[in-house]
Amino acid sequence: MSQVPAVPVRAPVRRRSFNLFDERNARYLMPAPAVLAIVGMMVFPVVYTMWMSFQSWFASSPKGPIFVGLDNYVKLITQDARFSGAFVRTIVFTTLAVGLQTILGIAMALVFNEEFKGRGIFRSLFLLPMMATPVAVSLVWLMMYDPTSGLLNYLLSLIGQPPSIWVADQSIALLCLVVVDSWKFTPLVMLIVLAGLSALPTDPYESAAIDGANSAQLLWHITLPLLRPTIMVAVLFRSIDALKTFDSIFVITKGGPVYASETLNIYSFIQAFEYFNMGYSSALLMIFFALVMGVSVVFMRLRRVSW
Amino acid sequence: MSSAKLAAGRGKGAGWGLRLGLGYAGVVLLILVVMFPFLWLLQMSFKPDMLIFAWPPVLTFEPTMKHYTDLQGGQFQKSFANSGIISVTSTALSLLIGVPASYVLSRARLGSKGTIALWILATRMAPPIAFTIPFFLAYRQLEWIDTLQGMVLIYMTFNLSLVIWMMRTFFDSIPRVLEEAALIDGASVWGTFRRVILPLSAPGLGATAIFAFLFSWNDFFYALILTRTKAMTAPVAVVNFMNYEGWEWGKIAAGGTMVMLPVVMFSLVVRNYLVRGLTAGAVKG
Repeated sequence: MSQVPAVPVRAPVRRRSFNLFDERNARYLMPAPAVLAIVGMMVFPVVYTMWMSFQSWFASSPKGPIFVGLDNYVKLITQDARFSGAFVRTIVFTTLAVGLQTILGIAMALVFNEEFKGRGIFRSLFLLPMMATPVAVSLVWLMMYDPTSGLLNYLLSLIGQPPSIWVADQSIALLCLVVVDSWKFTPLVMLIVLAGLSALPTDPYESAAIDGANSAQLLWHITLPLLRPTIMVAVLFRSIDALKTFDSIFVITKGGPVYASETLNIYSFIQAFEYFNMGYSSALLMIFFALVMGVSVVFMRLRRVSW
Repeated sequence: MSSAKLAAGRGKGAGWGLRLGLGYAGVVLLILVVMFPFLWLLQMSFKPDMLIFAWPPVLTFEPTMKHYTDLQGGQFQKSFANSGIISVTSTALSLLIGVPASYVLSRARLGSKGTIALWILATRMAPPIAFTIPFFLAYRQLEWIDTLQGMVLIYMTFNLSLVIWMMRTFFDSIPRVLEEAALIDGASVWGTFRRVILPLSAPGLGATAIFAFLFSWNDFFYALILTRTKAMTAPVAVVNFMNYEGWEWGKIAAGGTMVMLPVVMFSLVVRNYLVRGLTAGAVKG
């Protein structure tokens, strides 16, 4: 960053005097509304939720919140099987989805990094799944998973397999959601990796080619290590969002059947807005927030250490 | 140059044409898998009711506009208009207060820009419900539940960090010499910002605006909690079809297609900025 004073406070002012205040304090006035909005509407709510997590309170009851200390946290961790189930499912869902997307996304990026006709159009088409309205594409998948007239069962029948009930099957419901998430976000990983590929230096490849390395060795010993920071960015962003997946799970299974696809985000939604158990769900959210932060910190650390 | 390209260059010879053909077939297959849900939704929205549940699925039929005309005049049309009003207004407001803040962030000698990047990341990490509980309770007091202004306020807030971050990278790329020249010529700080900096960052402003619009338009979560009927947005309306008229696949498909139409158009406009927008807050280096 340059050392020149950013917004020169003593710019020649040739305006009416009441503007002098504006002018001198531009560097404070310009960001002021944004700072106020952020403090009032983002920082304060999180602090409030943290405070609420120490209370016992149903928003549906006329009685006010009662301070209960760490009771909510203790109850969640030691007694609530639904919470521990949701916790494990959130981790499983995120690991499977992000893992699949990362591997497929890197593979696709290597394909699309080659020059071929129509590459630009193909790349643009890949943007659509991640940008398209999540609930709309979730509804399409819900229709395709339909046991009686869904397309996937038709495809199964073509290869002579018995039909499946897909998202209504407790043992595979979560996997079905991993497929939807991967369909949506593999292209994002691909795009991030492509951006990384286009910025790679050429020297290592030239010297490796002179040393007689084959293309698999080039990929494994040069391309992937050089891409590491880029891949970690993709994994970081995908993990943060996958942990919080809501729309597709809510639309396709609502956490069911039974609790087979209930993740932390869905469970906290149900606690907060179906049971109106505000104190309890706030404690749940604090643990959830800590989980997302913890995962992010791990990936940010991983980015800096060499392979 | 990439490893793949080097490898391809070396392999040029006998099997090259075949490899190219196979490569193209693979790419086309991939595109088909990616595009398939969209195409399926589109054909469903034009399919006559009696063929929708046909087994095996029918792909040749006389298209009907019935499902689209069914959407007219009902809750969906109103919700669609709500979505438009809410998204446009919240985008305009978040630009209005986010862009000046972003400019100062880009120009000021702040000790640690990394801290701000981390803060933006942190707002992404927080589960949306953690923000929503206080909003819900406050709106209940203010009687702002199911109002347009309530939705505008919440989307404006959540687009702020995106606007600040995206615009900062655009402002960073404008050389300081330009505004220094303007200031020496006697322009004010505000005047320089309005007449020199903003016109130069027009493409960035456009891309940022489209992103903010798309995030508000696509949102389901906040609208699900904070609206009922009057201010209901289009994504919630479409999901309601599924909940209350689950057999009307044609209507659901038509609604889904309508919701996605602006998204598809705008996404193609901003395709070059997409990675930047979706990874706002990525710490460089």
